[in-house]
Parts: sequence; C-alpha cells; structure tokens
Amino acid sequence: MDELEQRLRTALADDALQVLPRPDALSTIRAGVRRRRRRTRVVTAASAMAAAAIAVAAAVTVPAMLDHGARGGKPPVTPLSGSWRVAETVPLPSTAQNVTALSATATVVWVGAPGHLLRIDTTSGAVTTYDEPGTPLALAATPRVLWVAARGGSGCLLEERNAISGQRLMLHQVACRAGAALAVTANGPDAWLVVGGPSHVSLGLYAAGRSRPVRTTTVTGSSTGVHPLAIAGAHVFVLTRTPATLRVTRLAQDLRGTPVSADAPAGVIGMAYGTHRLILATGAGESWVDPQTMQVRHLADDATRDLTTGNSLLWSVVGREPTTLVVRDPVTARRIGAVVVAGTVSHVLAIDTDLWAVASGDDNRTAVLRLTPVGGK
Amino acid sequence: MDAGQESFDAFVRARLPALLRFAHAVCGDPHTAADLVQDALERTGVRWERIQGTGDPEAYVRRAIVNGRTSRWRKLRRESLVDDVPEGRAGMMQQPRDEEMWRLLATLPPRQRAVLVLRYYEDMSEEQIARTLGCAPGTVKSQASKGLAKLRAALADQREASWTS
Repeated sequence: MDELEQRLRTALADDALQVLPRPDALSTIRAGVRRRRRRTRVVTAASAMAAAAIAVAAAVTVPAMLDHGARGGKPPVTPLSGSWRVAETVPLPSTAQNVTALSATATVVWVGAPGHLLRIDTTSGAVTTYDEPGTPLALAATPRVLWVAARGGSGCLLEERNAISGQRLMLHQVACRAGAALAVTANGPDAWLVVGGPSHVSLGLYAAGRSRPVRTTTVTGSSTGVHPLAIAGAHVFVLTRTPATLRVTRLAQDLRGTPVSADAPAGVIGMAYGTHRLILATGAGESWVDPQTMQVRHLADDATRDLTTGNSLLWSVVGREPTTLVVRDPVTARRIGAVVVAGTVSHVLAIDTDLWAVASGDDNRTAVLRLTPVGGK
Repeated sequence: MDAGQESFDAFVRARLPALLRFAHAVCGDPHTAADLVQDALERTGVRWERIQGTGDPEAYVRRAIVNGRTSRWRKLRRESLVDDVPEGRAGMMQQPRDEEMWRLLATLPPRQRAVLVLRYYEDMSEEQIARTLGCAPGTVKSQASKGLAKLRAALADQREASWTS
C-alpha cells in the first residue's frame, strides 16, 4: 500500500466520519416513509384526474359547495383540480374568532387567539380551550411540547406547554419592545424564538424542560414578514430588513459559528422549508434558496401572501375573498392543483399531504378547515 | 406494529450510525450526510418488503446514498455553483482530520469518490463495490484508477507549489 492509499485510509477513519444520529431519527424516518406513501397515492390520483381536470373545474363547483348555513358557517370551497376536498370543518367558538396563530402535528391542531389557546384533537374533533396571559402571536407544536410566543401587558412570553394535557410547564419572560414581532419554530425538544427590534432581531434557542435559554444571539436588521423564521436541515434561517435591503441569514441550529447572509428578493414576506430548499414568498412570486450555498433562484409567479410546505408540496395563498390555495411541486414549480376558498384564509399549515387552514366566510364566522387529497383518509 | 415495520426499524437502529459515516465519507459534509441518509432510508422504507427480499438491504441504501449524492452534484454543477459557504460544523465533528486529503476528495466526481470510499473505508472488493453501485467491475477498476491518479497529481502539484513558494 503506497502513501496515498495509507492517507486515504487514515482520512476515512471512523473517528473523522462520526455523525451522531439525532435522538428522534427513527421516528423522523418512519414519518418520512408514511409521507412518501401518501404522496405516491396523491400523485397517482392527480395523474389519473389530470385528463379530466378541465371538466372537473367546471362541473365540481356546485357539488363542492358546502351547506353554508346549516353546518356552522363553513366557507364554501371549490377544488379546481379535484385533488383536495374538505375532510373536516371545526367552527371556532365566539371567544376565539380573531385567530392570531396556528400550529399542528399529525394529531392535534393548536389555534391562538387573544387570551385563548385552543387544542383541537383531530381524531375525536374535541376542542379544549385554555386561558392565555397574553396574545399568542406564534405557535410551534411538536408531538410532546407546544411552544407559545405571546405578547402580554408587561412584555413578551415564551411558554412551554405539554402537548397532550395543555398544562403549562415553563414560562420564559422575554424582553421586547411594544409591538415587537414574535416568531417561534420547534424541532424535537428544541425551540427557536425570534423577537423583533428596531435595528436587530434577537434569536434564542430554548430546550424543553430548561428554565433558561440555551443560547441567544442577534441578527442585524428588523424582523419582517409573516414567517421570518424557518428550520432547514441543520440550520435555522431568519429574515430581516435593513434600510438598504432584505436579508436571509443562516445560522447553525445551536446558534454557534458565523452567520451567513444573502440578499432576499424584494417584497419577501415569509419562508418555509421543504424538499431540501428554503422557499421564499414575495407578493409577486416565489423564489428558493439553496440552504448550503445560499444562492437564490426564481421558482414561480404566484402573487403569494403566505406559504407553507409539507411532504414535497408547496402551498401558496393567493388573494382574499376568494382565496386561492395553489399547490406546487417545490422543485419543478409544476402546478399540482388549486383550491378556491370563498372567504379569507388567514393562516395555513401543511401536515403531510393535508392542509389546515383558518378561514372566515361571508358571515365573518371563522372555522378551521382540513383539506385532504381526494382518495386520502 | 407489523413484522415488516419491526424489521425495518431494527435495520435502521442497527445500521444508522454506519450509514451516516458512509454518507459523510461520500459527500464530505455531516449535514448533507444526514439529509442523504434520511432520504435513502425513506425510499428504502417505502419498498422495504421487496428490498428485504433481496437479502442485502444495506447495499440498496448505500446505492441510494451514492445516487442521491450524484444527483445533487449534477444539479449543483449544472447551476455553476462552486464551493459551499464556509461554516462551522455545529459540533458534529470532534476529531481532527486530514483536511488536505478531504479537500482533494471533494474535488473528485461523486462516482470516483464513492468507489474510493467503498474501497478504503468499507474495505470492499471490486465485485462488492460493483454490486453496491450497480455497475460493472471494470467500471469500478477504472473509476478507482482515475480517482487515485487525480489525487496523486493534486498532491504532487501541492508539494511542488510548497517547494517553490
């Protein structure tokens, strides 16, 4: 064996290649397998229906209209491609009509409203209401923990709640200015909180069960957009605005190391991560960012005001009254389908191939809708 | 939980650390390695019954990792992307390593790199590498030869540069 081969063996030794598996790796892989199986069914169903799409768009309008008056004010929904249907409608109580935040896992949907937090069990349909000390501005749900970023009378709060019982486990007081934007996202036992400021945003890493933040840092610029925070692979991304430009900044999930920034497209209002890319929505279209190289590229031309990603699907929210939910492949930008909601959709969240949406109908009653692929559960 | 799910879970639990190391060797980056392994195992899980029936599911996963890496590399090359943005490694790498050799490995096309990894890290024979990568043994031999030649030439260049500088 010559010197080169010896160096190769040494360089490729186990110690140099160590990558610690995440504690939740197996459950993440299982979830990925389930998503791919569902996705296969969706694509199959969409392909089968593609030939009839035009006819469906014309014919489905009347049958798809829901019984608006008799069933608690559900907004009428028209699936243009015929690929998604309303599988569930949960009218919200009168105390929680003004929804401020939405999050969900596979089995629970969480809705925030001033002074209230609602837990909707998607299996039984049971709705439980909890009192909140402030207004929840952002929620991040995991199967075990719900993180609530709220603004109260005396400042900002980050709450850690048990996702099963709703019981508050920890309450972090967070310094913030009046009117500060808050955003939270979570992964496993960790949560990242963004608190907006006039010249910089504060980013904190919190761990379930710990009374103090694990680490905090700041990013230059003020907070901007409806979704200024996203997790992508091993990184966390923050969207900020400086007087000169909009920036997307990448940090390691442990908030160590040097942040890397790139210019974001003009008018960017939010981010979502899916299929190994960070999707940016602007009022004039979508772009995507390679999380490794930070290069920004054009994706599609929807006039998006909100977005969400799930299981290789990109949902773009376009327009109001009616609201069109455009479904695309986030890699090819191919339009897979579209659903028209005859009302205003204020919040969306994709879970696998389903979409949870908060929508208000023409009687101003608000409901949570679950859209499921036709042929799905 | 059905038997198929149980055997898939057991496979993942047993082989995940080794697959992560393999992916790290193939792509040179622990974060991309985690993504590649996740992707490959999800694909494997969807077809687990059939893949398990082949008797060597790990070969399937390794091939999926190499193919995933090749596909990313092709895409990045088509888009004229160059080096990754320098960054810390988020505490995932603790051991010092031969940075020069890693930099040189990173310059190899993914197929050549995969052949060298399977040969010098996994100690596989040409036949085993060919089965894992789904190619002919002759291709393995030529890819290994080209990869080693490139590394030798690059090392020689670097030495010459250090003597003359």
